[in-house]
Amino acid sequence: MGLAVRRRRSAPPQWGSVDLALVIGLVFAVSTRTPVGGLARYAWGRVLGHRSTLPTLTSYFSDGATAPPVAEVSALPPEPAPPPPDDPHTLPEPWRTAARAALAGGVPAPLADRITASGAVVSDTAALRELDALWATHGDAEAALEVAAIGSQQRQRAIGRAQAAGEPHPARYAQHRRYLGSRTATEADRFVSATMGLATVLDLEWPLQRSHRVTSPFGDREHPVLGGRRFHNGIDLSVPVGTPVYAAQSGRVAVVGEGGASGRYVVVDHGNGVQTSYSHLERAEVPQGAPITRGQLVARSGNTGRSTGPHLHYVVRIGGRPVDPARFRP
Amino acid sequence: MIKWMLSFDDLVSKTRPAWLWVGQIAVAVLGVHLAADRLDDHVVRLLTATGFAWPEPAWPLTVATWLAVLLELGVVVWVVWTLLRAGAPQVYHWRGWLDRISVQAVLVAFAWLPIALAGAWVVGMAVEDWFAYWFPIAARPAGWAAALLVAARISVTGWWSNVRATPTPRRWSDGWPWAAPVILMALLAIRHGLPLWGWL
Repeated sequence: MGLAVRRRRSAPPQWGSVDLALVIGLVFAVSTRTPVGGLARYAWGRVLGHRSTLPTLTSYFSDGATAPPVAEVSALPPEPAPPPPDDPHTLPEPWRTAARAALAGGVPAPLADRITASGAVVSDTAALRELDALWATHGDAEAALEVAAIGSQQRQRAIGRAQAAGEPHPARYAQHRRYLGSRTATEADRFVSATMGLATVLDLEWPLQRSHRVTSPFGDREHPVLGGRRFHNGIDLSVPVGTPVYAAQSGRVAVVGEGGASGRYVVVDHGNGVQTSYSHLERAEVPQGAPITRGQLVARSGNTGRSTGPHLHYVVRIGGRPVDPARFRP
Repeated sequence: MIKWMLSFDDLVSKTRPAWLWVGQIAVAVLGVHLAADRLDDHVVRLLTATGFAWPEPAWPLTVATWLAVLLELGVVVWVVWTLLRAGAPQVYHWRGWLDRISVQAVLVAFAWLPIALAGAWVVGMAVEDWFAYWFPIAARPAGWAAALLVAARISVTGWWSNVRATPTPRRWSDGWPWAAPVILMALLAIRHGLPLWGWL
């Protein structure tokens, strides 16, 4: 009897409960974080007779470097950005104006906590003051905005993971964003990507240096060739063939293409989800993939593609969505 | 209490063959998704470098993401297929494994483990994030503990049992259609799914 009891006590645990708990956790993770899980939940919903909708499988992918569509564009103040404050400890332009617009979507929770902790009432002005303090601490707009959006602990955790995974520039938001939890990444995108994207478009140069007139503005218009009212995703600037076209901001030449309605065109990626494109060109002056500087000659305007006369079709996109370039004319 | 827990654990352990394979698939699926999430970045770079004139600037990203989704689903099918076929008597010596060697056997031996370990790290990160809300000081150790536990109990054991139970192939080329996508995902899992590179 004593031997039997001793044997039972000394029998090693089989770890079955631990394994089962791990498997349940894994199944939960798969069902919430992967396209396979999305499909499985959809199929299960159909089996149970629910009206479940097929998930968007690409939504489980974090592109990591591209900003989402920016709703805060409409919150940009209509007047030009105020001159930069002389105080070197305040968040400089254009980030300050962009942050003001992004705050219209709400003050991020960690920033609100900082404001409350300092004894102030949460408001846009207090949020800007707190952003100034973060800028003074970090000396980097992106880092200050990220700490404001998700807190320094979450940021440090993501940087640590990116470092462990051997990412080349772990401190950069685009590099460590994918190591944030999905909810945190969404919150960071809302504030950091939106502000950085807006700051980038606010800082765009105009692509032409010679005088010109706008022959067709952004928005709905009567189409000059096809007829009927159609959406015009850019702005048409009337200039003679061969007019130099300059890069609106530094970046990388994403596409040099030809064909269809756009004729010859160049697309430049400026980072933070901002792209500019220049169409109906006579010729491109830069190869695809080349890094370019602000104000660098990228093309000569022309009359190629579906065009009724020599002009430059200039488009600005934030997160893939076209916005009115005239709003960001310096 | 301890006696009751041990009895319960014993009972649950007896049912292990009924559910452990689900965890082995799940951890591999997480690893495959981590790898596929990086694949689209590489594909975008390749697509934009081809010089092809895309009708819209957003097209390369869309094409790359869908390609990554399709490859991910394909490799998940391979994971399930592999696990369902791994019912052969287990071998206990590497010579026994060599007798059954095929493309599929090599893929299981060399691709399954990094993918499953990447899945364990995904779990570790999720646990760390979850703990950070409630108990920030313990978040990092808890994340690492979870990752190591999943790696030891599910990832490594799953890989080992699959390698040992690789079925005898009809031809040495069995499994060749899976080779390219599985190797691609395994390489991405090694490069981006193992938190080792920063220390090396």
